[in-house]
Amino acid sequence: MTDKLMSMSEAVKKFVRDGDLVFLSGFGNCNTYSVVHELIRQKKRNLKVTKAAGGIMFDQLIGANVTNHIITSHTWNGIGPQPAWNYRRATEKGIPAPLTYNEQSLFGVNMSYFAGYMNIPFMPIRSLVGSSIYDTPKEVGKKAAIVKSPFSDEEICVVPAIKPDVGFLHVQRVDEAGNAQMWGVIGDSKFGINACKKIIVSAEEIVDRFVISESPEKTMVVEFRVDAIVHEPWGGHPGGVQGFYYNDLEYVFNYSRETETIEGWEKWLDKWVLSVSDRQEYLKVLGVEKLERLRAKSLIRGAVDYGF
Amino acid sequence: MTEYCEEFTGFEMMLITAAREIKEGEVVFNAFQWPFLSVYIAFKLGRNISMVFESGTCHDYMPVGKMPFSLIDPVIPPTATFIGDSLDSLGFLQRGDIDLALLASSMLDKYGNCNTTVIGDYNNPKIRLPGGGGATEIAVLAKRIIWMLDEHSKRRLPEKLTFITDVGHLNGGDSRDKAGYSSTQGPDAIITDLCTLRFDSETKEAYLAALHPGVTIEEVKQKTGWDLKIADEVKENDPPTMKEIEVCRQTMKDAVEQFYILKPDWRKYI
Repeated sequence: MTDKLMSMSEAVKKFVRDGDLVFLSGFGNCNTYSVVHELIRQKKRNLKVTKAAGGIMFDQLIGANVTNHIITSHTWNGIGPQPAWNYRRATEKGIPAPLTYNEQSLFGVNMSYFAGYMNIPFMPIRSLVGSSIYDTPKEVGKKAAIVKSPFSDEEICVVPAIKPDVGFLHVQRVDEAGNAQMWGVIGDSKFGINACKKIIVSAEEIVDRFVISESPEKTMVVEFRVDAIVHEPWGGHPGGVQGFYYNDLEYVFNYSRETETIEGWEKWLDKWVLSVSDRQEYLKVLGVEKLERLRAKSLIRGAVDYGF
Repeated sequence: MTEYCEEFTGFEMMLITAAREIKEGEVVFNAFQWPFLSVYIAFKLGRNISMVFESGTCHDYMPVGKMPFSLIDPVIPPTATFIGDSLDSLGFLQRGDIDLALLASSMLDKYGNCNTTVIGDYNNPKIRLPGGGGATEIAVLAKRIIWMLDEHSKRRLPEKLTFITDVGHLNGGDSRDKAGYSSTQGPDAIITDLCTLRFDSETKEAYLAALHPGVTIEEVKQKTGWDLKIADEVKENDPPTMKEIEVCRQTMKDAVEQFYILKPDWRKYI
């Protein structure tokens, strides 16, 4: 069973190929920042990346030239809010490379993940019609269509399934078989990760199988869907992980200040990504004092009676 | 007698006027940035509301003391009434369960359509903006939409948009209806730092309905990107009550502490 366990470096090397479509999970809670940094260090190229809201994870992948094609509904720094500068440089000036932004709506992209998860070609939604994002940009091909219901005269918009080649999910805990449990804000994580062909789970803790059964409703992906498991404490920093650590607002706020120029971005990238070999070294740069400040105070919530 | 505050900023009037639109008992879609602050103000003023977040969380309560930095703050889940997926909250919206949504905007045209995608040509942008997020569906599926605009200017209120991220009343008249959306729903008001615009029931064009205290019709007309129509009787929005301004300023202080960027002239009284 333990053969799924590996380091983040091994997982990225083994499962991500240049040109792949990659899903990155986390909606503020349980973001996959350590994956982003490893993709950059391994110089992956021409990845398409998808996530309901790209945020500064996408900004970093764009700045490091790992991706030139994003499928998302929103890309900005939520703290401030402030511009995601690499994203703006790429879309406005083609630096470091021109970027294709496959414009999505939040509902549209989530329904596309759901269709991918259910292994069906499309899903209907009651939005998008009239919006310019319905058919922008042209180069990505048909993004949506209007079809007539076979059961009535009603017409409805449909969006295609998204099935990423590989997906990364960061969670609070996972067992050695791959049963991965997340709690707190879920966002797009559950349907997004289940739409993926290959799934890599990173977790704050590796736990025994019996811990999973204490609250099986928290399982996001089941063991038979999971290809690799990475034990990666603090893998979600500077996002938060419910029950483990709070969002590092100061760090994310400063990120936009520090990366407004290309020189600033290169300095940032060198300090936080290229000069460290893995997450453990990243944490040393962050410093013990910062980690202690972010560490969550315990707040255990009730258990229910599963008796029969 | 209600005591009113005499000195306040247009930004404060925008937050408070938007908060006043939230009625007791409503189901409110609580969105990113300024709406989040106005909903927080309404809650602290004692309004009982059900809140739905695009993260998939529902709530009837906002942690007081330290304000949550956003709808994804880990302080929210431990007291939530429901935690699902984004699809759940967007599904509530699609079902028609949402009474009201406040939304922040970058740019609005006279029919209440919104652009948060790009300034300039799409393929050769002057400034690239974030994209619509959930606003694309919120704008067409909530029963009532209030747009919040922090700078009433020709730049932010052009006659026509080059890119429609979020559909308002589309091309006016029955065009929204024809696109498949309910014409009785959609944008109900645009609240800016100067005034409240509402939409004509026939043409669906935005007109000046009420001024913030101290603002003139001339100033609003001058700063709007189209030939703005004026209501027969332009009302004046009440100035903030002492209680409203106290809650509003505390919320703004909390927001600054949570790294919100508030321009100096918005917060000159805090």
